[in-house]
Amino acid sequence: MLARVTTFALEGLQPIPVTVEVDVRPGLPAFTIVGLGDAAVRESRERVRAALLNSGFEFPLRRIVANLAPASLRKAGPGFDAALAAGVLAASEQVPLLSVENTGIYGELSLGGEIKSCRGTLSAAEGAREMGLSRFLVADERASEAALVRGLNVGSVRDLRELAEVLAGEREHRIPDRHVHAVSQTDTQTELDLSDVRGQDEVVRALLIAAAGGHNLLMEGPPGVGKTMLARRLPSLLPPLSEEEALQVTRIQSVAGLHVDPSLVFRRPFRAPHHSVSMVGLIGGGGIPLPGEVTMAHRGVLFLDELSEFPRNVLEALRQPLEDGAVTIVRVGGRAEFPARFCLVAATNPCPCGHAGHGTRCTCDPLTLERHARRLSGPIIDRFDILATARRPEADHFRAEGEAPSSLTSEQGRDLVAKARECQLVRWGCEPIELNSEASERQLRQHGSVSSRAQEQLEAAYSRNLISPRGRLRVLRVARTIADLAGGAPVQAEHVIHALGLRVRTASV
Amino acid sequence: MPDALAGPCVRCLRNSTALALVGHHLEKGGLRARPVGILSFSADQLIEEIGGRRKGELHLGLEKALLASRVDSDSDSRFASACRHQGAFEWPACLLEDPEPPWVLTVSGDSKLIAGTPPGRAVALVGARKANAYGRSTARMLAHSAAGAGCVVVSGLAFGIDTEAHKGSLSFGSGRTVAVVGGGVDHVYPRSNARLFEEISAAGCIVSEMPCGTGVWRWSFPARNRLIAALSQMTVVVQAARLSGSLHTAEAALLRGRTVAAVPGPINDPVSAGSNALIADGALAVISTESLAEALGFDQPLQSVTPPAELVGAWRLVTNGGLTEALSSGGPRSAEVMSDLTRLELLGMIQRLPGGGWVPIGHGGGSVGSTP
Repeated sequence: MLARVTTFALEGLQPIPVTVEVDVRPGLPAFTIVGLGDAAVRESRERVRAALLNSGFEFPLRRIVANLAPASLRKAGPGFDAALAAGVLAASEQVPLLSVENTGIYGELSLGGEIKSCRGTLSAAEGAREMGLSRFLVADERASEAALVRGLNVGSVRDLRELAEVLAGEREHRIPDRHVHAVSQTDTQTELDLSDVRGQDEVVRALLIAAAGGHNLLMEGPPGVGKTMLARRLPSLLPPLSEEEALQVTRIQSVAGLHVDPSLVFRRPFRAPHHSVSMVGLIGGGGIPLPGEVTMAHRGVLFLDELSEFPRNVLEALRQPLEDGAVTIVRVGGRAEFPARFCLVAATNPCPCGHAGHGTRCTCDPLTLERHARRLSGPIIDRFDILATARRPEADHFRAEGEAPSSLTSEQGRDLVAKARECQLVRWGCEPIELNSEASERQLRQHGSVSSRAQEQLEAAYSRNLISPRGRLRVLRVARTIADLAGGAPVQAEHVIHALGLRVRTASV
Repeated sequence: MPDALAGPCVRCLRNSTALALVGHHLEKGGLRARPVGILSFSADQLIEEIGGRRKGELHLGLEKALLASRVDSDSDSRFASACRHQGAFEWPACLLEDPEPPWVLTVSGDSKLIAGTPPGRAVALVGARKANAYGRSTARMLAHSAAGAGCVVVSGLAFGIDTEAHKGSLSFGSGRTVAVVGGGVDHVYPRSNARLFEEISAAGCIVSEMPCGTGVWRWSFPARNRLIAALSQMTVVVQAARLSGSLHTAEAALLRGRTVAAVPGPINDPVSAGSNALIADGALAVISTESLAEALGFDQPLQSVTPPAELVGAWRLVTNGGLTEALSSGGPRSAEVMSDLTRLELLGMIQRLPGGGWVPIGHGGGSVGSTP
């Protein structure tokens, strides 16, 4: 007897339908799986056998051949277990053969017969909807994730016994809840708030600008003044994700195995890989490509602490995703395109001892200083639009009772950012971009509305050799965002001055 | 009369080549600090003194080296050499009475800056390699204003103060500077100053008493220091720790009867201890660009720096301190200060340091006071 069950493999974030064909016929007892599976797929045999027996089913003592079609696609992971078990049940007529028609099954089996969730449930569910399957059965724990896909009949099953009963029509599958809601109350409350920050006005302003215009931000300052703490508060300034963006972020987290809460993720991701991260870890990769940190930070913030400690080749590899907003990874196991549109924030000490620029506290000798500057001035430094200096807060800042009067709360900041983004949405409506940080020279010239005084100021800086042509564009973009934060009026000279003050100075002194 | 095509006389050339030849022997001979007197030994004296059992070998090597150098100097017109008797430029007048003069000077760049009686006054700005931000910015500021007054700034192309002194002088449009180096004028040391080396040989000159192709030994630096002092009317020690090599320069200047000045620094900062001690011992204290001008004998103060009226507040913060407090105090005030600093930077008056500090860089040439 031949049974066909549909399940899904992942190619990057994309679901690829896989038909599990199970053929059971007389012969010496054997169980073979063909179709380019990896070790986890081979081990699947033992899990399926034990799970069937432990659930009180019969494991047919005949010759069983299972094929994962298309046979040319490399398949990895335990996600085929449940479909294989259902195939065996149908082919040995322990459930009606027709019951597995038009049904998608996705999950891993335990030896006791429980169905476990596995990575990429959301993507698989999207694949099921695309194929027009009449139902999609997944493990209990991840059922509400699959239910995020509209127009798909999702059923949740706890174990193999229940799956068989549902297939046999003896009971209805349970329908999971669908948790689609905007940022919940608890979500905003648990977020880190900007009002925790003492002093650091320069960096707070820079954070606002970075959030409003999507600019990449470099923070410089001695150790212990709160660079990391400030960076962690950037996501709280960004507007919540739209439903479409949230679905994208949820999909990525689901494939990467990060997703804990089975509801839609509205919180902007914040990723802070340690500087020992490998290139594959940052960009993505592996035999069968998996997303890296840049993709996990999609629509959120990628924070690189101690920028100068990152290996040069790793930073070098960041340039392409920063430019394109996506990475394409090609490996033996297939090719995958991952989105990677993130706001890059980095922190660095101004010198190895951390105290350069502040009188006599710096103990570094000139050679070390130069080496440090060279490490930083390499491949990545000119991708930053903003350089902000974190300084030691004054003692008064800590003495003040409660919140410092001048400090901004994240909520106020978020409002400012939202207004500035509104201005940008209107401005770039006719262009294929959303944020000032993506604007080209031409687009800024046509729609940027820069006052003549501001233009003069910019050209003065350029002719004084203070900025490069690329730096000029970056200053202009930042100035545009500063003007947007101030209400969206044309860029004035003072906005250009402010942007010039925040520019990254690359030439070593 | 100097002959544009001629080199130094054979005797002097022989003596200077011999010095380069036995350079590493001097190092081995325990002469780490200062080979007193030896620099003015003639070739035969030198080989007699140093040679030991290998005198014959050294004599042979010397003849070979002389032959090679003659071929080189014929084919290479980038460099000009002279001795007190003859050469491609007139022997500097200030070296005629020198207690320990060099045999030969080789110049890459504009030899007029040292030849005969140079048109301008020469001031040496020297100091520690491991200088801090205060020392570096002071060196740059003093060099800039000295160049503005038409002085030639002499220094040694080392890290720290020397580098800033050269850069400060070059940052004044017509500023010219002399770098006295320990090795040959074609030997870039330290390597990382290669670009500055190029700039100086284009806009000023590089001077050495060693033949081309000579490297540096430990004794080359004190030897070079005496030349810096000898070629200048005044030596200013901008910042030096105790035992700093730049104190040798001050000593050499005193020996030659030149003025020695020093820039005072914080008394609790070891990197300024040497320069402070010089002042305590009676060196002239340079406390402003005006006092430097006075010491150099200019009636008028060197061009001083005046920012536009609305930026005076921020300028004072940079020059008189209090900047860190103003920037970290928060509120709208710090934003204002930041934008004023940027304006000053646009005027070319100050410069941002790594870590967010600011220092003055002399003044911005012609554009001071004009609004861009």
